[in-house]
Amino acid sequence: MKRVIQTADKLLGHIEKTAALIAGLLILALMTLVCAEVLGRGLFNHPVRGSIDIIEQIMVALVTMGIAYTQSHFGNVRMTLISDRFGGRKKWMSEVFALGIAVFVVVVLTKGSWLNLMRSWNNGGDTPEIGIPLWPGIAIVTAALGLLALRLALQLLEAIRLCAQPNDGSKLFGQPADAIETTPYE
Amino acid sequence: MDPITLGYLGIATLIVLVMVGVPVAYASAFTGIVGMMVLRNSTVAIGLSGIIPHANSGHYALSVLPLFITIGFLAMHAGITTSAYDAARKWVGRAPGGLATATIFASAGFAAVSGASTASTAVFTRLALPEMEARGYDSRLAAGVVAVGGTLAALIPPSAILVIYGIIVEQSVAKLLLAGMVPGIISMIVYLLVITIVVKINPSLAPLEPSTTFIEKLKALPQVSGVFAVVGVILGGIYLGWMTPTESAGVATAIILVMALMKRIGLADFRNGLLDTIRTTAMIFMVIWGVLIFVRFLAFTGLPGAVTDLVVGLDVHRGVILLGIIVMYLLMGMILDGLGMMMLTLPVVFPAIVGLGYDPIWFGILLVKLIEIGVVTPPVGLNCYVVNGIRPDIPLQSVFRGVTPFLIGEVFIIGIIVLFPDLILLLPNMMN
Repeated sequence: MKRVIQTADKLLGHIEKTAALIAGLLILALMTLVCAEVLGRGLFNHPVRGSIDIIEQIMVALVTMGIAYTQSHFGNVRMTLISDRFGGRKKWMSEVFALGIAVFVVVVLTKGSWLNLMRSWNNGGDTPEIGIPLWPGIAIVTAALGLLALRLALQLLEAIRLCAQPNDGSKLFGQPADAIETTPYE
Repeated sequence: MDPITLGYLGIATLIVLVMVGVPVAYASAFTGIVGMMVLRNSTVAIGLSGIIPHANSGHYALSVLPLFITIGFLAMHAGITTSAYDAARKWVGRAPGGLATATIFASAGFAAVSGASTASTAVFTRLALPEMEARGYDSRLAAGVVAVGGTLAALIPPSAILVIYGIIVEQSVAKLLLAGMVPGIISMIVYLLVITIVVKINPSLAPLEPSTTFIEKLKALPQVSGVFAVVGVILGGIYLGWMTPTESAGVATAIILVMALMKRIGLADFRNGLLDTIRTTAMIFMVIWGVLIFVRFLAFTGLPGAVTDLVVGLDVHRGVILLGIIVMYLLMGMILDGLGMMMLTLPVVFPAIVGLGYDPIWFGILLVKLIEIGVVTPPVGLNCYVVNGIRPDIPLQSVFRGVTPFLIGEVFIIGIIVLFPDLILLLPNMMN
């Protein structure tokens, strides 16, 4: 069981990191496009056509492609004032509870996004200025949510395993503290 | 069950879930989805919530967030923090509590290129804290200064949390960013006064710095040109109406990127920085999605309207209600994370505030200030956690005690924000 979970973790980890790196490169694309727009408008009085449409589509991919990677690093804001006091099996049971809720939410969102994708595929729909079709963006969102659901399911499975063997180490729950500087963002 | 009761029940459920450690994003989405399932049916719940991740990511106004976050991480690699600290030290090092004063100035400088209070605290815990200790500064004072100095990042533009506020309550992001400037500077001045008073009372806390010549001072200035460039582009561009916040953020990112490349930022650092940025971006957006799903549910219950009617119909002066809201946020800030707290309360509090006739931009500034007090107050004060996380040898209690004199200053700042709204709205009202 432990080995299966670790293999799945590695495999998912590769996909998540690649997706997150692509998202990172999209930030640079966003920056370049915005600068081109400013320069084009300021110097040549010639703004980039459809730049808002393109920026919005870049944003869809940029935001969603990192969600599974973020969850793999436990990067979501949470309050641990009470759960920190738990140890051993109690701690893992509270993790099972939290992850169970997360799995429910993300499965619902994936289903809802899939329905949204089907509608957009069948009925069309595009951006206002240059008519970029909306379905590829929605497809990326659906896939990203699906990947997140897999990550959460894997973490849930590991938490259940740790409920049974609370003293066993875990690679998945390795360094939740490494995120302290970057995750709480305000 | 009538919808309004269900709304209250939803809020109670959400609070319990967050308290037991369910991440804010999942807890709020869960409550919203289940609430809609009960109020309407599962088709509506799945359909409505499934649209939100796509509809609220591809949003032009939100595209400023990843850019602001990128500027913050590149600024560190562009050497802006070190040079800002060096310059501040040469200019104000001779003042009472010189290095502490310099840290506050440098934090304000870094705040002008970064929108994250915890990131700023992390930087100065590594950079300024050891310097202060080496000079014989009291470690509590030093730790308090870096924790408090970090909060300037949330007010002085670019500020991520002000952008998020603007999106959630549909107010002008440009005006909010400009409005943060004056209270940011007021906060800085108050912190400097606190340091001066504390050191005057007990000079042994902070020994004097050796003096520097005027030439040395002048030489330190060109190093901080990056800070001025970013401030100029962001504030000037928005203020004069030349650029949208996204555009000014894009141009500022490019400037800082060039500076970082000139300092020969390594490929690994660059890649890790991008991954960090993506992680922070995804985290923020997931909270936004979750809260928007919760807001949909609340709208179905009619609760926000009912609360607004109740609050506006109260037979007391609106100042009393405002005071109540301020106290509520200060108390919540002690135990809740700022971003989550803001997003979870706004759907109910914001309509009431507007109903009472308060200015939405001004309230955004007040709210961010309250949140930032929350990040330095016990038991959950993220900035203090960051200091303690990087420097485990300084106990958390010491950091909190180091912050205490500044809290008196914070009360004073809140007073200024509440009593002089025109001062806060000066810049946004003058906007082109």
